[in-house]
Amino acid sequence: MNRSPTKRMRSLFSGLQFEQSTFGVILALPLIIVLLGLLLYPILSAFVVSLQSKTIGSPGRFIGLGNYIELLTQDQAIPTVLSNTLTYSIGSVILKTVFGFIIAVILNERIFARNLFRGWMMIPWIIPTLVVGLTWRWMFDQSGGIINFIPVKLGLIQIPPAWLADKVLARIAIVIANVWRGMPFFAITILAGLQAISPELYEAAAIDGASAWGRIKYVTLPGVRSVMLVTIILSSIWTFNDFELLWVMTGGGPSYSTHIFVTYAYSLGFRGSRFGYATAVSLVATPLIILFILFLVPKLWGDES
Amino acid sequence: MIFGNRQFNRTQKIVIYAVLALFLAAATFPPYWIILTSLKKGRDVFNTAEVLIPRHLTVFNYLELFRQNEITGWIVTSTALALVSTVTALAVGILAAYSLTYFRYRGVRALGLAVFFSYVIPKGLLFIPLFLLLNKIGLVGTFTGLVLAHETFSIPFCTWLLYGYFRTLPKELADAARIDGCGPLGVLGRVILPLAAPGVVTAAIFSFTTSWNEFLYAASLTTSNALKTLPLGIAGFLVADSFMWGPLMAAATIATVPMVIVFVFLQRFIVQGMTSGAVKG
Repeated sequence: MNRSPTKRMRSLFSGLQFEQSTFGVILALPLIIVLLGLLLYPILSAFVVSLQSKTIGSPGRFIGLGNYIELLTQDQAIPTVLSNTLTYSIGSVILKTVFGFIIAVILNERIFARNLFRGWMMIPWIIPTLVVGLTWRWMFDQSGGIINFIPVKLGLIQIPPAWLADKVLARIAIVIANVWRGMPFFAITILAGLQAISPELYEAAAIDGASAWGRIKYVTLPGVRSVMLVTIILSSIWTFNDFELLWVMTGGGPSYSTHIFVTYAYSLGFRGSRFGYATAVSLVATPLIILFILFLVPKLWGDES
Repeated sequence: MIFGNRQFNRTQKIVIYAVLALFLAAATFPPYWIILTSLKKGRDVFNTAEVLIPRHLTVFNYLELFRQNEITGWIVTSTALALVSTVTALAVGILAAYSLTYFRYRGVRALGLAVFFSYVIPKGLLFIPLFLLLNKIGLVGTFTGLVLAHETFSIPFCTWLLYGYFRTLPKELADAARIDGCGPLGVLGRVILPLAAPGVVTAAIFSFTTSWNEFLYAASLTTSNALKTLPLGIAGFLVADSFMWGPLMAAATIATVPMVIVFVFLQRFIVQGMTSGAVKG
């Protein structure tokens, strides 16, 4: 019970200041209205729509879990869409992590013009995603694209491949575009993590005889582990739900080979107007996303002191 | 720093700078290609051979874009949309973050958690529910509808970022102001906001640029040419099989210019926003 005077004063003043609970609620009211009206309500009512057979302009007819049953058992596209979504997100996130880590480590060393290069490295992030998608589409273009030009000119290939019209190559192309765009986000967050590692740790490891590789393994990697984990989860959620890049690069084609859940739901709803079914497709991955978010909560939200 | 203050040896130096050069070249080539394409007229864009030493460069595409005048409307819509969403999101976010940090009431923790959830919830999950809601209340194809859609990401984002920022400020300052007779809004306006100005700038930049770049909501909620945003307008160049790469890349360059300006002058805030785990990438 031996509390210091300053501590007692602080709690006294805190008491003066923070008890106006009604006013606090009033301040948060606009936010609460937005959260309920523009986020919670639409998602809940969309769930109801996903239980209906519905097109726009006509009232829906309740069909229970019909859409979900069709999705799981009848829709021929779903296995492809699911595997695309997974390979696209996992592949992109792994590559972004590896490249982001490498460039972050280099930009954390005492190199020439370090600040300039840190800014330079951000270029892919500055360009609007839609523009990034269009640019890669143009670069992958079969006849005028720069990517085919070089190997053709060097005589390495005779017939230039149609990147975005080939099932396998198109999948590779969208991952390349995604990695190119997302790499700076990884580099910047990992760099922030690296800067928090005390240089003394490296010194100590060096004195103990650790090689450069040993220092990466025993000092760098453990030091950025948690920031990397958060970045990976956040990026996984957003890559899983990508739309812009895919839609302008391939539109989900050729024949569903680059459709992920979001683009497939979009094409069902806005190209085919089967809104009940489209809603079911867009919601089917929700439990997975919520699981990811719950994993992040203790890491990013933390305990309020 | 893996190498600390030591000099790299020769091999290490070569490897490090070679990898760095590779990354920077990869980062630089696509924007270079955008600008180069935008400066080529008609079928000249297919003269891929002129990679490094281009000939016949012209600003024809830019002049043509502004002569046809469609792009002016896209720019106006995009600017208005980004400004209105950002100002609204900042107002709502500042008040809410203040409430979450400095007030105690039932459910305040749950509300903080809800803000985090709504910040992370991806657009890909929300766009159809949002379309159905706005369609029901007759706001699909209106400016108000687009603003409401943008608020679903900018309000949670601004609140989340400012909430994090406000929590780092020393509470004693607010206490002192309160003792000196400041009302709750006075504390916010005179003490907290001046201290949190960098956080507010960061929130504003991200909110504005996210709105400026937004495409999914624009594609699903726009029904007329009159309300096309710049990204939607640019995507419109992809018609059937005849892609107008020159004009398309000119419009793409124009869409990127504000981003570059923001980045050059406000890089510090951008890095801060990204590393606070606070931006979608």
